Amino acid sequence: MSTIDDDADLAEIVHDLSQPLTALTNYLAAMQVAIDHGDPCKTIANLLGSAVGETTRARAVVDRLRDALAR
Amino acid sequence: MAKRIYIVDDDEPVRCSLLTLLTLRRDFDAECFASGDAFLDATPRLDPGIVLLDLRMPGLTGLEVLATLRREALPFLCVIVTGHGNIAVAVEAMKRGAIDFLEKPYDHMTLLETVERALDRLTRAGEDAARIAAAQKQIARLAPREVDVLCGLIAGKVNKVIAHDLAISPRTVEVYRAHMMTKLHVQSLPDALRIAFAAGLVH
Repeated sequence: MSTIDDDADLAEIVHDLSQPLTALTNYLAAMQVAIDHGDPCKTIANLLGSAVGETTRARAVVDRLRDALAR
Repeated sequence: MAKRIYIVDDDEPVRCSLLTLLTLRRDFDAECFASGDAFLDATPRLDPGIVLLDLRMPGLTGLEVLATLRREALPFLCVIVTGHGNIAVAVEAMKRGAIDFLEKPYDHMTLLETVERALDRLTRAGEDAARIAAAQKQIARLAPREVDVLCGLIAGKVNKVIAHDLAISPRTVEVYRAHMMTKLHVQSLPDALRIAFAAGLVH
């Protein structure tokens, strides 16, 4: 996607951003549950790692948007 | 009853994160599928449950999965999960039998409330199905004439009218009626009617 020229592109962006945000929300909620259950640090560290991965995915979408705006 | 949740989503992190969350909570029995096709292929071995169904996937779309589940009357209730903010599609999905929808990104509480609500409905649907099956089994034990008498009673007819309609004596109607009540294990006509309604004898 190089330009944001119609609603279809916007819907695509909404979709592409909502995916990592959904996964991120799930991983954070899972972390909360793991902490409440007193699960091992290893479990929480794994969840944290997955959550960080999703912020990277979201950032890629933001970068794409920034590039599109710069054109 | 185990709270079975089936996640159908082509996005791997979305699918895995949700599975992780539901599994860590320990109160759900969750399983995930990367496509609608994979889920439908697995249905013969799956127990009844709630399907968290993504609408847009390669292969079968969420709407197509809904159509198949409905056509084959499979014991799953679907909650549509959509990431487009496209209400029109969500409405279309509800028309095709989805019971609710969740918009991505959803928060933890909304997810849990939606899932619990869907599970309640699934339990009720299971109870209804069991009640209907039990009633049909009871009705199936009746002789054809006993069913005729029951239908006459449902129509509000007195024994004499039923006897006339069936070209039998009122005394015979009484006998059939007594047999019918005994076979249905009921003491009163309203109780017999309740079974007849549950079995779908009355339309």
